[in-house]
Amino acid sequence: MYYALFYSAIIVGQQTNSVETPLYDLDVPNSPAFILLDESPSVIQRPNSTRAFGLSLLQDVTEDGVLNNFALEATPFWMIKDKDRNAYNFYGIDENKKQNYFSKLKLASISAAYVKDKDSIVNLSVGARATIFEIKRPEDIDAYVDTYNQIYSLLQKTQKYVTQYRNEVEGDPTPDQFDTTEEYTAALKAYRLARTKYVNQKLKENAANTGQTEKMQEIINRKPILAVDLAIAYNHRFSSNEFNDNDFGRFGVWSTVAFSLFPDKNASNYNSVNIYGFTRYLEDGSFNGLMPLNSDDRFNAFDLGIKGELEFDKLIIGYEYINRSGDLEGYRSAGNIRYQIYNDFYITGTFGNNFEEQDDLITLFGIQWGLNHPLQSLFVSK
Amino acid sequence: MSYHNFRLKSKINTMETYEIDDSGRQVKIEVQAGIVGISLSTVSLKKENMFTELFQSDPISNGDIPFTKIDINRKLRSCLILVDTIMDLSNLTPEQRDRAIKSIYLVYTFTGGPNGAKSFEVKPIEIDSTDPTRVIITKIIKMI
Repeated sequence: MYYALFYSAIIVGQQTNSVETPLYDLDVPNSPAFILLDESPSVIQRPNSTRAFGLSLLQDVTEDGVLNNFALEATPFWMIKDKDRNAYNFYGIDENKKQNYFSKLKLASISAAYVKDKDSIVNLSVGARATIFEIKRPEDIDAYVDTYNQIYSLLQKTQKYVTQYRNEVEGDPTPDQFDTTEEYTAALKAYRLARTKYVNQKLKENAANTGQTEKMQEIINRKPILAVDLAIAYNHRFSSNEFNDNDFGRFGVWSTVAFSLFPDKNASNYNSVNIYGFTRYLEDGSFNGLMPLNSDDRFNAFDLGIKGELEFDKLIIGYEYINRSGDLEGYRSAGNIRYQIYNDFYITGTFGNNFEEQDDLITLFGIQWGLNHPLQSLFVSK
Repeated sequence: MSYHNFRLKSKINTMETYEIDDSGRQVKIEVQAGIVGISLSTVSLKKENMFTELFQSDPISNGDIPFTKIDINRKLRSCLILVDTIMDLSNLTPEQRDRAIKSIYLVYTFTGGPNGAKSFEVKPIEIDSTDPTRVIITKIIKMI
């Protein structure tokens, strides 16, 4: 799948009329609204990056040439400007390093999805999800604050060179120095480019950046000891392209509890034992209303699962078991493995059985491409 | 002049100003910063073609500066007040950075002039994100 996308991205990128779209703008289909419609590739997951799922959506659109599936996810936090935000409370602590266990709630997201299935039934779905509770390791909080202070010192040095440059060139361009806005904007752009070059050169000469920015990136990606995620979604179906011909589709609510143990207390490495608990209630009301009665597909199901995972430097080995009860019964029992070959290049494998009574064997083997670099982007034709 | 030419020659950005008088009252400034990146705010003064840093935000305040004296009214005639807020992005994931820049909250409030308090908000043109690792926001206010 990712091969196809990789090559299609290159081909599209070679077209002349293209706009650059950062990958994070495409990180949509891992939303609850999408998962409810069985379009999610995995059952128990707590991904750091949702970009990979965005790519699968893009491929679906580009291969078919029509928009069959579409999902959007938005985080209201980023749409609001608030004077009380700072780097401490964004991380989830106060000035005294006291944790706010519910701090991740602010990043709750809402989602909407549109899926047109093989029978031309249009599914509209809405959902929401959030990390409702999180406990960080005290060592990680200390590391965050220490690195914060180092970066603050780096900012002070940066400011010193900003002022130095300002004095060398007799100041920033100001609107009253130019006849038109266009001239002012061009001067500002040139000034900023030159200032960035000057400041970075000075910082380099004085060895001001000693890796604190990279260290901070590593710290914010560390797993918490405990995290509880909650998601809820509702789906409505529209048949026969008639607005009035609609009925309840599905409703789901699910939660993942992630618990991580770090055997190395000195944090010289981040090998961990991860245990996930998973619960989901799913109600499906997709009754066609036609005879015979055995065409009634309505059901409700309750899933309860657990997953154990050993995470080493480059290798993750895991096993998951999910029991399904209610109108549907069954279980999923699968082992999975992921190995990092290169920075953002992984081999993954899954083997086991899925919920079905027949043909329940699952064997998946695949490759995940690098999807985590900040400068990655796709070229999309205008 | 055609409409097209008018647009090309438009001048929509004018210098923002704060009125002062010849009194000995103190002019003060407050910077309110709502920024999720690690931030430092610095107030500088341009006087006789020389830029001088006056004061900075505390490390813990993340860019906020409470009301602080700049100078008395009559000594600030025709001076420029510059407020730089530098925001480091390394405590944010790559997905969050662009959103964090768009959600920057910065309000600068002056007091002590004959017309009392006046607040200024940050404008998109004042945000410099040329460098991928940090953002520099510069507000320039002319004392008239």
